[in-house]
Amino acid sequence: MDIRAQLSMSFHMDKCIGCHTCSVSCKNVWTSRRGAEYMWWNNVETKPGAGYPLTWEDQERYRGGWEVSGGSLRLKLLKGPGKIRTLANIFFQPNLPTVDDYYEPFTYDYQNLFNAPAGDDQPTARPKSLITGEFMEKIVLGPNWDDDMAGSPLYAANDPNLKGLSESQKEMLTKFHKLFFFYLPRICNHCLNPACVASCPSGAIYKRGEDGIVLIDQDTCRAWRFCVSACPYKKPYYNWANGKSEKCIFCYPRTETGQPNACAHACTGRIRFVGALLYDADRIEDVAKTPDDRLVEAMREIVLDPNDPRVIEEARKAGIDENWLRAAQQSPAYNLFKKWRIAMPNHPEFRTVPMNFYIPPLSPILHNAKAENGGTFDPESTEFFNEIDKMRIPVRFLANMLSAGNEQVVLESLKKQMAVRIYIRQKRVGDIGDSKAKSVLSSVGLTPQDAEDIYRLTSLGTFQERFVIPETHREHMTTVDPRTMYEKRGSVGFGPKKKEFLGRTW
Amino acid sequence: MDLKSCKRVFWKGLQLGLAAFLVTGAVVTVEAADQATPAPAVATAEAAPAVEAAPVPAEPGDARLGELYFTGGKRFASGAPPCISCHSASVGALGGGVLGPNLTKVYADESKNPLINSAWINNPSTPVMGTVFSNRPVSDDEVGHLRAFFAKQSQGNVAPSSTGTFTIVGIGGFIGILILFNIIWSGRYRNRNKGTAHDALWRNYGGKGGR
Repeated sequence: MDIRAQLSMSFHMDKCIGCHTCSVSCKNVWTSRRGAEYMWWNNVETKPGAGYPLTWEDQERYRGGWEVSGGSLRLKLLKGPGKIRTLANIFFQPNLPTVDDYYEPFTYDYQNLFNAPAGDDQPTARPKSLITGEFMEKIVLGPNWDDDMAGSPLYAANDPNLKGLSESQKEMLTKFHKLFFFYLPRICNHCLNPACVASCPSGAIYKRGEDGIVLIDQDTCRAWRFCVSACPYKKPYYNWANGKSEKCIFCYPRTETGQPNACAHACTGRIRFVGALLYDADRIEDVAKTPDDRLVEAMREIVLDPNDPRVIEEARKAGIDENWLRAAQQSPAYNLFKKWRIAMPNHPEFRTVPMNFYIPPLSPILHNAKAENGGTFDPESTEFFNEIDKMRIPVRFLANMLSAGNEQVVLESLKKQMAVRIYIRQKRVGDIGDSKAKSVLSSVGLTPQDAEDIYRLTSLGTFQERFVIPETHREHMTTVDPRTMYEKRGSVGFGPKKKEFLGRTW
Repeated sequence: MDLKSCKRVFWKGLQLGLAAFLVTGAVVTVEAADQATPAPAVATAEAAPAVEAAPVPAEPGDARLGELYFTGGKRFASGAPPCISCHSASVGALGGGVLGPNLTKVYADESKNPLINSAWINNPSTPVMGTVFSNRPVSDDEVGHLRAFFAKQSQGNVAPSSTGTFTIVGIGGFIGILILFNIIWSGRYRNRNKGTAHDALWRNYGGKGGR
């Protein structure tokens, strides 16, 4: 057993209102630089929709992530064994998204509104490209171009998650009164089996042992851009101005000091939870090889119970600090993902073992749930959950997105959420009946205490409950000599020469 | 096969033809020059003693080694550029450079002959050559071999430098190879991904594209 710690973010999709406050705060903090204008380390997508970059989930097109072939795990991008394909494609990667797949970043000529000479017409602010500096004829794409366009036969209809939906379910995309959509906020998943790390020819990307954050070493990066191709979530980006790739850094300067990430801190809907997980690094490969239908289950198994004395003992041996163990025991990520089993990873079938989790959204019952009664919802129904699969958002769609197609995992989560609602309604309104509410809970395997806790965390969660982020003990964890780490401060120095510090801890 | 793909095949064929023409043209020109130029030099060199019957001045160096030094077949010990970069001496398929004077008859020229020594070549005040050879001097030994080579060459005819041919062959070959690459890897991104994702979406939709 090789226990390591991982910071993980969870998203309560029911509460996401698609306001993009997270994206904007991330952009203001990290990517408002030349060459980074088009990057959105955090972005919010409307689902169904094509996303950003367009159709990123379609790995037939981008060939990101891993696949199991002949019993071993290999990068989809490289097809064959070894690095031959890396070498063959090193100067030209056919699967690399171009800036046209993202969008051409633009600003507006605001000054013209103030400085335009007197004329017959109102002055306008024309769009201007942030790459070429030229005026743009027309803006054809943006980072949230298909925002709220649920019924779009162009964008929504091309969502790769619609695969396997029946025709009548697909029909809902275009019928106004049956329409559904929800939001998918995305950051880097800081995977346990990151494809970006595996694909980098320069070895510039690494996953930190102490908190699991995946980072690109800006000194070592040689701009081969294999991380961009290999990441199935398309979260590393290439900075065309300084010739280095960049990605979401999980706001490590903030989390190291116990503060939540900029996106999570700014979230107006309070949909985000950040906590620590303990996992067994020895089992990563086995988990990544698990067949699709058991993938989420296997991921739940690799996350270890932080209250188990044996795990605690092993973790201490592995050098995990006490405050990390305490944080792992109160971790909202652990509770949502493993204890209550209501959160699940985004596209586990990419086999990178992503470490951000999503609570699938409940949605209104379809109008035609009881078609024989004039197409309205049947309030007389005594079956608690019979409407789950009649919800507007097809379970199949959620399963394609969150559980590698395993509908049972999604149904379990939706039923649990519904049971908590029924239980709390009985407590507050009292029109359901105590025994009935309890039986609902037990039928989905929750105790009243669990229901209270879920309700507490997802509805009332305070700042301290939503963000349980342990401070990093930099004095133990750094590979930089603390005696010289401030040597280059205030200068333009490039820091210590790598070789002499490799593998040394201080 | 519809008309559109016919057109594409036609263009590809045209490009391929042009590329093949340029590359074979370049090869043929080089071969022709190869056969044309050195032949008289060699022939006359062999015939020279019979015609002129002048005693060949005793040069201690090896003319063959001198030719290698001249053409760059063998490097100067100091790493100095070979003479052929700037001079011609009726040797090699395409002659040499035209920056310096033609050295075929330099050995026979009374006024120039004494200048073929390392002291003059390496002297910083020597025009043009000084800047090159003062930093990377050639040795007496190497110049000795060169003298022997020049002595041999001075008995032959002067073949004009064909720098122009060289340039044309270079450009033609370069363009030909570029066209060849363009055909082999044409539309690699487009063929693999069928354009940008946005184009692909619009194509599915039946529209004409996002822009």
